[in-house]
Amino acid sequence: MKIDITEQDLFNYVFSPDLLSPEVAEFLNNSKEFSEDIEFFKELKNSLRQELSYQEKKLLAKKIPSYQLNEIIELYPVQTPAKKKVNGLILAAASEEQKKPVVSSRTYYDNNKAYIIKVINYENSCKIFVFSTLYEIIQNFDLIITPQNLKYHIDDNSVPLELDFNVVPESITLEFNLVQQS
Amino acid sequence: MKTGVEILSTLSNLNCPASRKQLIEVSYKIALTYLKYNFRKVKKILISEELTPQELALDAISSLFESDEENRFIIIEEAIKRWNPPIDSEKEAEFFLNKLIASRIEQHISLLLRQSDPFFSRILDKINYLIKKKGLKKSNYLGNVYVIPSHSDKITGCVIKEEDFNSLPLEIFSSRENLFENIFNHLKNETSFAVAIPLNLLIFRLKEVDSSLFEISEATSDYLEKRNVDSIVESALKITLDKFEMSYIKKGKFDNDDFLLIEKVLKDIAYDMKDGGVSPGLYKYFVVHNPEITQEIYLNRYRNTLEYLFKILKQNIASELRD
Repeated sequence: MKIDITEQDLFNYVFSPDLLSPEVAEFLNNSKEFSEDIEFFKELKNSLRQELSYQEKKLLAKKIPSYQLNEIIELYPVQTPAKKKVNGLILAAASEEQKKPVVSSRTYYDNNKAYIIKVINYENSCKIFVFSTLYEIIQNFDLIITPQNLKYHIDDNSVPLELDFNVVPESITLEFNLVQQS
Repeated sequence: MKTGVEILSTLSNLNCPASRKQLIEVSYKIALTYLKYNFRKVKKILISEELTPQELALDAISSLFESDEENRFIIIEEAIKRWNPPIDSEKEAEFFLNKLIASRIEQHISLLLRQSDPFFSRILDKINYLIKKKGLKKSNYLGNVYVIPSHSDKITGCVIKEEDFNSLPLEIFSSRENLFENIFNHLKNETSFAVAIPLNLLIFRLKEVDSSLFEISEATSDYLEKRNVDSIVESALKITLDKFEMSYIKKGKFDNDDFLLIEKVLKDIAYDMKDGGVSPGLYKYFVVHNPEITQEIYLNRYRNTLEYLFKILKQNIASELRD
């Protein structure tokens, strides 16, 4: 049986399948004719679930005056001085191989040094501490790890963010005054 | 759209900053997805304008969010009023926003294609004239405009894709007077595709096949002089080179060897523009004629001038097409 499929049928097939008649749903389930278009709407649906990156939000604010950017603080790693080579330390052939430390840490500052973030990596986990240099409690903010664009909401900074994997962020962004989404 | 954002609620509260923000973010995500879907169409524009897909998506939709003196998103408000059936459910609101953004993306791409290619622009004008003259309709489907018969209300069925459209026999494009009828009949009788002609693909096809639509005659009563496209290119090229000679050669900024080189380069560019599009990166045009010019020499000595002359050439072609 030939069924006239419209763009809205394809849209509903992906976004609101309950709106489709059983005949249309069955036709689309069994037809390959519209697979490319359906794939597009699936991609659209996935894209809507993804968070915008901070760079994209900055671009939105730049091009659309009505778009008010949240207060954003970017923090970058503090450059640690290179370790001096110790002359004269020669290990004997039988010496035990030096093991890499299990715990490592990295510190991040913003330009004004209003915030400090300490990232401590353990063997298979990580703790991220956020501090205010004004000794205030920081509440209701998002912490975004780049370049992976991992975003975590934090109610306040009295406890560290704990992750069950290691991270070595290139930078960390704090985003305040978030619009509540339903 | 199961995005965590209630579209109906944001459309109903356009004065609320939080709603505006959510609407802008969702619209941007939709725009970017449509743009990526049409990437092949915009690839050259992105390269030549040095834009990212993100910037292009934003350029396409930013005017939707311009506020009037009462701080209202008037374009969106008007679009909501015009939408039929009225938007009274979340599902309808989702589809409305999807269509609104898709249409914006299509309009913007079309505008950029017009700006970057005077031949595209000229043929589009002629096609639009024929559409109007024959009472045909346009319909937006997945971010592309299709020409449909006057008796159709919307597109039903599977639309023809680029590869299939480009494989349609040449002869159905040869008659200006029966162009649409011939393509509609072919789609209806010889294929299983919907009776809908992708507008931009049609323009590109006409450009490639060097159809009689290229000839400046009869398409409108204003255009009686018959000229072929080669003479238009030659004329525009001559005006551009005259400008180059006056402003650069006679003032000693470039020598005669440079003039001969740039003449060859501009000629290649002009004919590429006519035959389907200019290659990204104008440096390539230089190397063909003088392999000794390195990228560094090109950047330091020729780039700015060539880009300026290219812009002038496009303007001159557009002007010749209007004359």
